[in-house]
Amino acid sequence: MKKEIAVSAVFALLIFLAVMNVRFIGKLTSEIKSMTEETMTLAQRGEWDRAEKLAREAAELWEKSDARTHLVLRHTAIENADIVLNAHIGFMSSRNQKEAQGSARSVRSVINGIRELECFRLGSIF
Amino acid sequence: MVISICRTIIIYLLMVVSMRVMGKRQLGELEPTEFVVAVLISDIAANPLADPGTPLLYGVVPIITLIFCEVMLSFGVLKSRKIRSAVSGNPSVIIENGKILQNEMRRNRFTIDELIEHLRKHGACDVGGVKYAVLETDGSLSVIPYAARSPVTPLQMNIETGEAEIPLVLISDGEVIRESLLGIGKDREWLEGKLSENGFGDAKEVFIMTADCLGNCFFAAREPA
Repeated sequence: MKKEIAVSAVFALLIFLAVMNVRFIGKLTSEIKSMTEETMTLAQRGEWDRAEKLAREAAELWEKSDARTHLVLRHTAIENADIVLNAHIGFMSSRNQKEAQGSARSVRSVINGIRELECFRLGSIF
Repeated sequence: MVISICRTIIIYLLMVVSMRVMGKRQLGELEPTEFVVAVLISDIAANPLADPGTPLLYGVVPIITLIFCEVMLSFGVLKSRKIRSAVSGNPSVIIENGKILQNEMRRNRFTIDELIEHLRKHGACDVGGVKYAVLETDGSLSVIPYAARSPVTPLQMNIETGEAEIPLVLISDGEVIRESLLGIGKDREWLEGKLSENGFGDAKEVFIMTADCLGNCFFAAREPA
């Protein structure tokens, strides 16, 4: 019986950590997505400096979470997000509306992919 | 992580059901749940080991989930006869009163060649000498011969025999194991006496020495490397 209790306790802890992880990834990806959307709104208004600053903040937020994301996400997924976030900064600096829109779409797609991996949905399980 | 846990549980249950459907022949000496865990754990553990880009948690989470499933299912099997029957199945009688039950063999997809092979392993070369043969839940075959074909026991012959005691290893590769010496209720002095009786000057000259509570000893001398 002791073994069953110990294993159940470890499994309960695992479930707790998994739920915390879903919340963490959900929060992080939502923030980055909304920051990216905001950069596009600012770019459309011609406020390129503010848009570029916000794009940098989004990339920094992603980099700051590196210690935790490396534990729970495949490293290729983390690197992909790094690449698209930095590319988005580049297109904001070059003030190219069309390219900036394309890079924002890439950021959304990569970040959504990471979110989908962790969110509890039937599609994600199967 | 949640997805990993859900996927592991689904695959585990699916594999247990598959093993049950495949039948007893596939299992060897393991119960279906043990077999599934053994197969899955080795594969899951290899993935993060081989790929440094995969977090270790991708291996740890499914393994903990599998252990949880296995322990819980074993607990269920221990406590409930219904779960035991569903998970491990029931033994199947293949030979009853010397008659081969062909329907039962077909149901378990057990061939004549396999039956003969298992009987040979049990020293029963003649099918006619077997009263019962039972295909156990772990895939092994238990063979019970007719009484007339069974070896004679001392009890049947009214011969008095002393009970056997478990011999313990007292010296292993020249090293005396104190716990074993205490286990058979002897001391160092007794051991030294036995060594000199058998022509050994020191424990270091002995490769293995076993002895039981009655003082029956076995010695093998150490050979030079």
